[in-house]
Amino acid sequence: MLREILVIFVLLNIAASGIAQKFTIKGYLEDADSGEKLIGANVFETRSASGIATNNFGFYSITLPADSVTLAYSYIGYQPVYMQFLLKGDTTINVRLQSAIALDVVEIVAEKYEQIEQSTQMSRIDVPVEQIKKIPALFGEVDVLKSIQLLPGVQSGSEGQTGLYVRGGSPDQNLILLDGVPVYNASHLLGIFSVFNADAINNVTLTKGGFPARFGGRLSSILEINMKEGHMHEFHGEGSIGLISSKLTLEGPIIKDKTSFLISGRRTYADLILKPLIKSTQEQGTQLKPRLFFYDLNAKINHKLNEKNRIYLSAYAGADVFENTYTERSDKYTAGINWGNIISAFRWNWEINKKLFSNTTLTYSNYDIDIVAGQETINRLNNEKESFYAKYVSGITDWSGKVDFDFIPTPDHYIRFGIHATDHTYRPGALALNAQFSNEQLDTLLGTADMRSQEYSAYIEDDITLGALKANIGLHGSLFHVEGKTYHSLQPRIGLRYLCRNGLAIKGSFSTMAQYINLLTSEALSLPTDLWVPSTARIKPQTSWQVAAGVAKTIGDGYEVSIEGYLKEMDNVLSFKEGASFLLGLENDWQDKVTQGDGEAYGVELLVQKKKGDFTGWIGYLLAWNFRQFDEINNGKRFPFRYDRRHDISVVGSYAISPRINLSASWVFGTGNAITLPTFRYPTDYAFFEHGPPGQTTRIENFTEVESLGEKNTFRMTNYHRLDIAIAFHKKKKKHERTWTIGAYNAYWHRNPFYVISSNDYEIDPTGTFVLKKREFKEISILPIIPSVSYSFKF
Amino acid sequence: MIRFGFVLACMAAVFVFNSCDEDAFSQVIEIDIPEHDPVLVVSCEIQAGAPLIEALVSHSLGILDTSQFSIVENAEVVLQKDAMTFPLEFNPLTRRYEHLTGQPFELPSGEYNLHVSAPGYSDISSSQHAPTPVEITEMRFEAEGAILSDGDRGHEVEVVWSDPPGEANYYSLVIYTQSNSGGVRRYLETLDPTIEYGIEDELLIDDTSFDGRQFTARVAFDTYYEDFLMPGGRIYAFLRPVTRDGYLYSRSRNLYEYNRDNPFAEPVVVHSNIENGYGIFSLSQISEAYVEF
Repeated sequence: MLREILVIFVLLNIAASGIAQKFTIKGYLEDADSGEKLIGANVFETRSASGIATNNFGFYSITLPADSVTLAYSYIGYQPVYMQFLLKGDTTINVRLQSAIALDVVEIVAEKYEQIEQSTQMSRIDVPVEQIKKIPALFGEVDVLKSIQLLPGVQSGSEGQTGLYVRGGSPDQNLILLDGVPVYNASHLLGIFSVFNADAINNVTLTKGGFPARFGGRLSSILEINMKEGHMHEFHGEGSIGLISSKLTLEGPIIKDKTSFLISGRRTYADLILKPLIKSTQEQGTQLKPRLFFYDLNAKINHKLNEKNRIYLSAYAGADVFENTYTERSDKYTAGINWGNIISAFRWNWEINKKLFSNTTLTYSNYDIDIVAGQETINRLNNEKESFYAKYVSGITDWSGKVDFDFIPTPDHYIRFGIHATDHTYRPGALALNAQFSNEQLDTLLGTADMRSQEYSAYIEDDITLGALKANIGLHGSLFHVEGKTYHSLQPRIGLRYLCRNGLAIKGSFSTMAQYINLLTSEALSLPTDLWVPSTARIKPQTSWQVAAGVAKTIGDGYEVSIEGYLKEMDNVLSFKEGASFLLGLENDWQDKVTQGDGEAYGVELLVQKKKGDFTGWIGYLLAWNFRQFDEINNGKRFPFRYDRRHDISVVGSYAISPRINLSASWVFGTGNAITLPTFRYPTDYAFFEHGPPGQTTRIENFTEVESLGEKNTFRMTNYHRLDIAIAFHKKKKKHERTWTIGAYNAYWHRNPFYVISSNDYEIDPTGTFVLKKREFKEISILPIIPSVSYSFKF
Repeated sequence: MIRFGFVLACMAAVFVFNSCDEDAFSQVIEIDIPEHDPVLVVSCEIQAGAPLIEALVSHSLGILDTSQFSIVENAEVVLQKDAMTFPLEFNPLTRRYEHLTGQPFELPSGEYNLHVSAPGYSDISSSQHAPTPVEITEMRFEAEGAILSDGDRGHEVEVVWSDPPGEANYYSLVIYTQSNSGGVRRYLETLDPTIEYGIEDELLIDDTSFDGRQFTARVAFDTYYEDFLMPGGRIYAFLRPVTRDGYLYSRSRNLYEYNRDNPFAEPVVVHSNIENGYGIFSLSQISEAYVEF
């Protein structure tokens, strides 16, 4: 069978290649101004109507018959470049596209860019960073993940949170890659902001289905975020000053056209604002030192060794610090919670030959959280110093290496293959206690021991063009070794596109995925205390399959319309058992607190997108169903997932009133989250007899009132909707360009529910007893209208 | 610049205007909870060796209903096993329905049916199959033979029994220490992941992992109240083979109590096995053993 498949594969290759003499044109596409590589830019030969997109490093290779060729190089937001010449040998053409914005052209020109119907891949959305920056943002902080939440098929969790729920999945089922390195906690300030500083980002791509074989390790989505590489020609900078944070990005050449750098930082300053306020209010002899901030630091060096070799070194460090130290005379009390990521990647691009391109990546990713509490006091009896410190630590560390190859034998085939290995070290939670008292000393470590696992994967995929039919066929294999147990998985992937004569593309895809690491988290809230844990001998890997089908077409002047339906089945998804607290108790193994079950999600997504003109934006609509089933939850009955939202709508628009003023708005609507509430109460008893010692019988009685929850997630919070608006005023000065942005989050102040509480009113009866007078459930909203103003600059 | 200032002023006005509510940062919206028709509730745990069979009969209330629970005093409560009927009479002193057995109730094997009816309510019922009696075959004690979760030394007790093969069995285990100054029910710790906690700190065990084989429950308790180690002192182990519903009820009730008012815990549904109503009807056998000093 395998031999027959190989023969067919070779024959297809030969047939597709034809017999005419062919030559290869290869090169890089980059921004004419900065030298930044253009990812996903299009190279299109107009006569043969064959084309190709640049890879993640801006490289392209297209093989064409020896003939007169007309090549169109295009990228959204850039002026296209056309070249006509006689192809009579292998050729290298590096093209620099001029940004339409740099040319002061208001209309974003994107002629001949790869339209939605051209691409084989479905369920994938590229969001230009410039578009992200225009979307109104909470506190004026441009946020990549919140922008992604506005896409159909992607839902936010609770109000203001950055968690992504993609096609019925949970946040841990998203692989978030920053320059190819997994980011384990992508949020700051308990999920209100993401760790990605938009000024340091080059492009953002979300894949939520139809996964090509090169992706693996998560069930629901792959979010690729690539950092800028640094300006190759000139020194530049940009930054902003906002209500809660400021940021600055500097980039430029170290060696012109050979080596560039980028460094970008962001920091909040709540602590700096609070400091004088606290100082003025504190009592004499006391001192409160707050440390309340988060920061991000991105850095990247890009060095061109020669025309065929290029290396990159990128790093990110970010942390949240919430710590207070209170001093009263000689006594000191400390409490705090700190968490952060450090990630780093080294990449080597090697253009092995005109048709083969390789990328070798070595990565390091570390996420740590620690919760500290302690005190130092003076014992008044003996005047000796006594201290007690407790520190809870948890985290995950990855070392990883991978090699990816792009092989482009003919315009009809784009073959990718590669291997990947990762070593994970998990620290599921340990408590370090240190105490020094006059008569006793303690220095101990309690909790779950570190665990290690190794994950390996290999893949091969081919983008095949057979006339109007395009196919992406691939196979992803993975292997996971933990605690002496080995899991393996073969995951076939297929994506098809048929282009009808009227320009309508019919697309379909099937993909299977396996996930070996899990996040133990509450459904309601993303907290830094959430734990990353591996599949173990007891906890099986999560697996899924997803089938999707849809149509796509470009209508009129740049309106892209796509409709996709999907069905996703998930096995071995994790949930806390009933009664388990997601603030894990150290006395128990985390494996005792979780249970595994199944998930099912299906729905239809509509996306109408306008990419050209003064007015750009999109309308997204999702009609979806999302269920879970666990033997140990809800009496084994299937129930709606907390984020089962029947309707989810997002409307995003940006209008350039003039070259100097840009107005933008976004409106979202979502069916209320599913919640569980008690519906009735009843008294219950537990009385039994224990014989005890001979002659003694003890009657044990335990009477209580029970509130019964009924079935899980049968209630709904009220529907969520919100309008955000922003207006930006640009002005070019002599040496720089500045922008004032004024905005409002939740502009019409809809009271969107964040959580539900039970409210009891009591009165005192004549006997002096408290009697329940009224009881009700209330939804609490936490984010009212929030105006913002920010000043940003570029030079 | 004037336009810029105007926009800013408008936004400030909107913000100030909207902030004039009672609480600018939290808003309250009431949720409609469907009406609840009260139904009968019964709690009846029948235990082999007990001097009486008793049941508490009450009713449910809607979650928003602020009235107090009341005991249903005019109910008819009947326990049946095969052709035998055990009527339970209301005792105004204990406010429970009781059937005095006169001697320790033996709980012979078979199907037991509980039926409760009361004017104004739908009848409720439940049935249970008596669990197979199981005897403790061995009990061992080692003073300070265990390390407790807080790092301190504790006493270790091993309780051994043989599980009946081919059937699902559930057990409850408690340990008492007895000295001249009285008895103390012990809070138990165990490293065995198959053992869970039930009401009043009883340990709950299901036989999934040792069906038909001998099982040793290793438990530990702290070293306080050590009078029982004096001559004449005893450690008692009470093993109660219990029906699956009794096991689930005790486990869920314990979780419910433990997590009451904990916003970080997953919600718990207390197990109920009463048809047309709520509550619990369960049966348990009893076996005891002791170590004397």
